[in-house]
Amino acid sequence: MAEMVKLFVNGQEVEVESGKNLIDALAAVGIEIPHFCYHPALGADGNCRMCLVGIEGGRPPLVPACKTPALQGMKVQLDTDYIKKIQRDILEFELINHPVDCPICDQAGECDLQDYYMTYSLEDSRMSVPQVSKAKKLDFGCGVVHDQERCVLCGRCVRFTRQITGTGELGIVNRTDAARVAIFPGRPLDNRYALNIVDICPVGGNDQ
Amino acid sequence: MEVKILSEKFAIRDAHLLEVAKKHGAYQTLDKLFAMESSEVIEEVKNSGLRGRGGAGFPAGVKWSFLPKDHGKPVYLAVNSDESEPATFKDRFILVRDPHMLLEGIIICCYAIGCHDCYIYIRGEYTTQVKILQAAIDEAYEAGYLGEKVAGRDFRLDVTVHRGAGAYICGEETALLESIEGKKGQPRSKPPFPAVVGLYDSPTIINNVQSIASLPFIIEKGAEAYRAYGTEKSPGTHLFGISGHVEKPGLYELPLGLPLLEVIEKVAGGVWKGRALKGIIPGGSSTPVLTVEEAKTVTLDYESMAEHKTMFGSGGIVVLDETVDMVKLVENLIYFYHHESCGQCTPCREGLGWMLKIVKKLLAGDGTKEDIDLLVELCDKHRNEDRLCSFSCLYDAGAQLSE
Repeated sequence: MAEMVKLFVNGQEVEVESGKNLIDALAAVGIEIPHFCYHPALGADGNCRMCLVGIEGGRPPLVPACKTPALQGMKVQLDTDYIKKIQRDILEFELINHPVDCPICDQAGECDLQDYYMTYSLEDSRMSVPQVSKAKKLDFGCGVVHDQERCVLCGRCVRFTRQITGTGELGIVNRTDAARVAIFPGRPLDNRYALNIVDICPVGGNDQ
Repeated sequence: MEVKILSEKFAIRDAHLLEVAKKHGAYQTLDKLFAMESSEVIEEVKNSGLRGRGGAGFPAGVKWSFLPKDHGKPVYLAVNSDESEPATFKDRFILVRDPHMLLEGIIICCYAIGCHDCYIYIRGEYTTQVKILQAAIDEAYEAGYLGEKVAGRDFRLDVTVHRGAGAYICGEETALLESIEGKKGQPRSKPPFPAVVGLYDSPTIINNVQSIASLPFIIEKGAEAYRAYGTEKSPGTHLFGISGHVEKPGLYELPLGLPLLEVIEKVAGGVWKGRALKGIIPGGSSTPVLTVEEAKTVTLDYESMAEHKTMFGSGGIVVLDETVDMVKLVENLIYFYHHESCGQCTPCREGLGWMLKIVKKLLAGDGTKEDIDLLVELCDKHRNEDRLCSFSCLYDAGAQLSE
């Protein structure tokens, strides 16, 4: 039995396993912290910024939950206006260049982006300028089809091929909003676990 | 107003050659250095109050003392000479005019922190600078100032120059380390801080070229002599690159704490063509613009700049005259930061592209009041806090627009 610690979430005391990061620790007691790039099997990366939470009296006061271990007496804030605004802002950033083609997307109904939007945002779009267009229906091999516009660049699939299969077929090329997940030219996915990247994708970026 | 500490040998012909540099005092602090304990060196630098000259202004000696003790791993020094920020052009002078001052500083720093392998990360576009620096390093090896026995003492030090490939973000300290390791230059999430887990998972100190180059003076003359310049909390001198609409743009070494407008008037010859001042970018393109009103009271030190809600930055002062179109200026700056965003974390990756498009729309005359409000809101959006690294913060552009 792991050691337990007591901490406060929005002022309420909860008892969670010590040493786990806040996303996992609080999920075990039914408290959701929204996140894209973190996955229990792949570890924390900290790039999506969706899981930012406030720590009362903490230094720094704003931390990514995926990289923050649960500690005794910690005062986690999830429902302050500031945190809610950050969640809305991050979702807005994720969505400005997203095609929002949910009706024809396989992931619809089990999509984190869709679920989080419904739970944490529901804001109207303020995008009045042309979106970034990227490639769609890319054949990554092994039956995986990638859509760069739906992708939120969390890097889960890239880390999967590096950390789990060790084959490293995927990478993120380019910088800024031209960044996209891609295979090396002529080197498609080639491993027996490749279809997992369809499942670990938090959005509809990778389809079968 | 000008002083000559760092720039002492800048005007001397061929001072980048070891022979000439030695004639003018290069490497003369080494006897004194090796007579000191390493902890004494750190103490001396702490007492001098030398602050990191890369932009953040973190006290150098304090940074060094963050290194863990007895960790059984090598300690690395990475000298940040990526100087890629628009309007900043101070380190290049040190690299070209007095590289031996930098190398002497490196020896001092490495002795203090117990480092035997130093990397100089130099901006990819600095082709002339890298040639001169490498030639100086080769000369120093030959003369025995670097290598197995530094200046005949029982101290090994190897210096390697690593050239960047032209990314602004690689000036961010953890992205710089990633780049040296051969990976894509993207900042790491902190903590752990590089002083604990840095280059090749080992404790690493990263300092700017100018910080390191300030060390020979501090060791030679002592902390008190360094403190004779500048203010209580911002001691010493700084190389200020003054550019933009002034009569005499250029690089000037000045003690910290001088009034900004006086410097522009007396040192840089005032706003050119007798025009009126519109604003000043005080410390490189990533620092918020000062209005004329604000500029009247600000002095060139870290505290005063922070009080005026801007940053001291890297000392790259850009003077803007009355003819400057602020929207065009914003477009220019956002274009740069959009282009250079590493694309790792969401707000910077998606936000800057959006901002650039809105500003272009404004410039094309299609903008609406809502567009301006949105842009200002994007600018204000939690500034640094939700980002992975502290770069990319051109969200200050809002301050300029709301003028």
